[in-house]
Amino acid sequence: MVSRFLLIFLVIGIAHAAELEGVQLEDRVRVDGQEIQLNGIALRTRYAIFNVYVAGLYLSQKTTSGQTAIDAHGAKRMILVMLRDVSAEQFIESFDVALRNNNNEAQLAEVKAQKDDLFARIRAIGEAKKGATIVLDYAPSSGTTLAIDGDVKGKPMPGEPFYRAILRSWVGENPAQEDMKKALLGG
Amino acid sequence: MKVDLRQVEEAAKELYIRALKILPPDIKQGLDALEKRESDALAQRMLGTMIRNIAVAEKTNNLLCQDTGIPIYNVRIGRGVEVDGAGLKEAIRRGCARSTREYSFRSSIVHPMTRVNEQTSTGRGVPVINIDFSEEESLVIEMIPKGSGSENNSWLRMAVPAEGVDAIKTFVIDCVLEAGGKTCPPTIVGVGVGGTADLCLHLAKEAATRPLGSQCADPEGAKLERELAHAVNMLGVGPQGLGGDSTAFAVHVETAATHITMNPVAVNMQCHSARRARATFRTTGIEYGF
Repeated sequence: MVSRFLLIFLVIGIAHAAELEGVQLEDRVRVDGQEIQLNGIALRTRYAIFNVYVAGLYLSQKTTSGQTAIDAHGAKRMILVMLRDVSAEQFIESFDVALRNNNNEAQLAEVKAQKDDLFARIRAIGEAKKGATIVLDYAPSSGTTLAIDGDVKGKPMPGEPFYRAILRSWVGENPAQEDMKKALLGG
Repeated sequence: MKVDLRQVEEAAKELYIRALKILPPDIKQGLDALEKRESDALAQRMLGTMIRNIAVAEKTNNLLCQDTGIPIYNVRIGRGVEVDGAGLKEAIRRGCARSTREYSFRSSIVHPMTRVNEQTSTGRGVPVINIDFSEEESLVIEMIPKGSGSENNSWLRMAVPAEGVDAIKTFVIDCVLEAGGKTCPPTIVGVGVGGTADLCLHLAKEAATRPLGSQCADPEGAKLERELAHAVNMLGVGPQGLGGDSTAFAVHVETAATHITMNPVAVNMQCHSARRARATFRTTGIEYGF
């Protein structure tokens, strides 16, 4: 009886989490009062030898299209679980390159204030330590928030265009890592 | 086999000159291979210029590079070889000095503080002579003129065991990035892992001067070589640091056991003019090669 109970518990546990490199991500989470689901889980590497973070993309409806993910309305989440220490400057440099590679000048100009604000908040943190969880949520009612290990940093940064610009970094036309884009889109 | 020290002196002289003028075939093939697969137009032109430079130097019996380097002689004394050890070192030293005077190339060796150049390519502790022993019934002398551009970019880190192999990989990538074009890439990135601080650096030098196509005898080292070679050529440093895919011919790793509380890693690089020459003494005579 005990073993049957344990088996049911384990099956439920597996059904509600995706795992990669020892990192488990919930299948469903709530953002802005809305339940959203894990669209894909991916590994960010550097120079093909360093595992940097495990990422998860949450959307209200699953999709295999990057454009659909970017354009979709409603709550969204990108979660990064760090697999190695990364300095704020390294993080910002990489993020900035990805933003510039995936957003045109008009799109970047539109969200410049929010981008500068986000980078200032990342700089203030100093370093993303191995094991840290970085969450970028989009809440339709308020905007984009940055949270580190559950601690929300500052007020929401307004506007849906900003979150779209962020998402393009991972699932846009020139993603930071092609196989990562594929995995985030359930590939 | 009894070794005639006059022949050792002649070989030491001949080897230095040969090493400065004739690039080993594995390095030439390495440059050809990099040129073929290089995707950056400027980098490809740069590799083409390097290949032409080698051809011109060899055709005109000239030096491959103006830097005559620090002379290093690696000696392997085989089983049954009879040789006067102190005499062997003196003979190599004399041959090294004679090569510089008689061929009349630049002596790159100075006193470390007075900076006085004796114009002999020799000095206190130089040429560097490393002596080892082997099972083969021969005496092998390998000569390596180690250029300063690559030697000036040498590093050692005494990492801690908890940092694991990741610390080794990170260190190598950081070193290659820091070196940029200063090492005259494409390079052979030599990595020493383990041992003591001095042994670790020695291993890195051994790795950097190994022929292309050779592999670390330690399977863990060989695996690391493959991973790092791929990663290093993703850095975009490219030939002479001007960008491109061809940052390194290869990453070579040599390993040694180390202390339970140590995790040393060293990097030493060899420039694209990865010169070396070898003389093998057998009972049948002396054979020159690479």
